[in-house]
Order: sequence, then C-alpha cells, then structure tokens
Amino acid sequence: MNDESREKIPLKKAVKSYYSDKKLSDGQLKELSSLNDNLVSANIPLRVHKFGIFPFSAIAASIFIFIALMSYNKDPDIITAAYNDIIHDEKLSNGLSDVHKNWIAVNDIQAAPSDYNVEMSKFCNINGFKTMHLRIAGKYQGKMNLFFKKGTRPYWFGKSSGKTKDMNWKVLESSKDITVIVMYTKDMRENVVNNIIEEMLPDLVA
Amino acid sequence: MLDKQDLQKLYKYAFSLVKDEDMAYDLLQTGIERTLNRNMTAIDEPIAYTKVIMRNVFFDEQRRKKIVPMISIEQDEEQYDNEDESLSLEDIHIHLDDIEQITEMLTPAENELLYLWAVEEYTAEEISKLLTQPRGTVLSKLHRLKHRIRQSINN
Repeated sequence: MNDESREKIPLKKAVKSYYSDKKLSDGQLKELSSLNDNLVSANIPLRVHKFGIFPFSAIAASIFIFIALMSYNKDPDIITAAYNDIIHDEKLSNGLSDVHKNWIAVNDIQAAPSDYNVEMSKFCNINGFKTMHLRIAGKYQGKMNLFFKKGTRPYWFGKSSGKTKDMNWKVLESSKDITVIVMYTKDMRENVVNNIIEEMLPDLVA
Repeated sequence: MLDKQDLQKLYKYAFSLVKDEDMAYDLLQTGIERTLNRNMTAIDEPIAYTKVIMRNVFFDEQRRKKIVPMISIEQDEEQYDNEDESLSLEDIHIHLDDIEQITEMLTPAENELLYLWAVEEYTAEEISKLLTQPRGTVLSKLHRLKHRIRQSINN
C-alpha cells in the first residue's frame, strides 16, 4: 500500500471514486440498448403494477393466494418463484446475449442444440438465489425454461419434480456444481426436454 | 430514449442498492423494461422514473424477505431543519481504501442516500422528491448517516 492511498480525502471524493469503476460492460450496454429499442418499437401493452394502486385488492389477493396454497399440495417456494418469473418475462425476447453466453461458457455448460431457439436470457433472483434464466422454444411447439444456479440444490422437504399450474418441473444437479431448475409447458415432449438438458449438462448426477 | 450515459448512471444507482454487479444489472433490466412498458408520453423524467421503479422493486423484495431493518417511528420522524448541519458529511475525511468497508457496513437505504448525496450530488430537497419523504426526514437521515460513518471510522 503506498502513502498516497493512505492519505485522507473528503468522503464525497472517496464515494465518487468507489462508484467510478462500477460500469456496464460493452456487452451489457449493447443488450440494454437493444432491449430499449425492441420495447419501444414493439409498443408492448401497458402493464400496471396493481398492488401499488389498489392495496386492498392486493391484501385480498394475498389472503386468497395464501388459502389456495395451503389447501393445495404445496410446491417448493423456489418453483413458485421460478414460475412467477417465467410469467413476468414471457414478453421479453432478447435471444442469447453475449453476457449470458459468456456466463454459460464460464460455468462449463454446453450450448443448447442448434435446432432449438433460445428466445430469452436474463439473470434473475429466484427466491433469494442468483440464477441465469433461459427460455428455449420447442422445434414445433412448447417452451422450456431453465434456471441455472451455481452450487448444490437448495434444500426443501419434498419432491424434486412435479407439476405446477400449466407446467411440469424438475430439479437436476450436475457434477460440475451446477443446479438447474427445468420448467416446461405440457405441450413439450419430455424426451425432447431430456435430450436438450443432457446436451447442455452432460455431467448430470443421476 | 435512454442513452448510454443514462444507462451507466442508472446502473451505478442500482449498484448502490444491491451491492452486486449481476444483481444490479438484473434490477436495471427490470427497471427499464417496466419504464418502457408505460405510456412514455406521460413520463416527464424517464431517468427519475426508472430510479423509482428500481427502488420500489428492490425494497418490495426486501420487505417480502423481511430483511429491511426496523426503524422506530419516533426515530424516523425526528425532523432536522438545519441543512448545514446535516450536510456536514462534507467534513468527513477518510482513507480511500476504507470506503468499501464503510459501504459494506451501511444498509441498502443508507448506501442509496450516500450515493445520491455524493455521486449524483442531490440536495436534500431533490432526495426528498425521489424518496417521496419530507425534507426534514431526509435531513435527519443524512444526520444519522454521518454518525454511522463516523462510528465506522472510529471502529
């Protein structure tokens, strides 16, 4: 450590210096600019955050959802969160950006088979876990969503595959320390889903 | 609509809240998506609007996970009218390599306040508009922030 770095400087200058290297990379900038252009030109319909406007409706909806969930054979919270994220991002179609392509490569995940189109890629916070979300379209029909998470499967007491609303789901682990949550629409054949996953994660743990 | 400079500025703001590069990017992506989905003609200041969206998304999530620290009503409503005293954060001098440790010690709301004051150079009035809080509350928060930073330096 040199003497200069131990000199005291005004707090404001120190904070500015700290934030000066917090920058979007060229790839991220490109991706956000393209998201900006796509959304402006697509004129996607207004999506109102109703909970901020109608608090009583929000409370009533929460109670209803709570009762419904209690009476239902409850899915793990992470699956519910992943499902909500899928719905939230269903209109987003940014393809596979360089940032996410790089993340996949760095984490030893293979590319999706070329016959299948990666429609969307995004980093998502799923129930407190940082994940990389891909949406892949079936060749003829259906969609599958993959949420890659570094590390082992989060623990919960219960099943590791099942059905939630209009989707099937399962949680798999690879020996390369990656967990993947797979969710796919019911019109997508299971053997196609398995083939795609095995190609992307050849080191799946049985 | 949002140029590259705007995006960089919004990213720094997102970082001040989440303190993680990937999460800041994710939060910014969500903020832009929601801003652009609105009727743009009704939004006068898209940067400010996107900031509000991002902070709402972030703090909603924090509340959902119940990790927002509780502050007593009395403490929060303590009002300061003396802007000079509260903004005397200017008086604080630190070692450059201590700043990371200070930001780690602060809560997301305090980091946001510090960022707005130092990097964006917002006045208490401008901060109060963004946070939709009375100016006196903002001054009292700046005052508390000063004490927290002093405490961190002394420790």
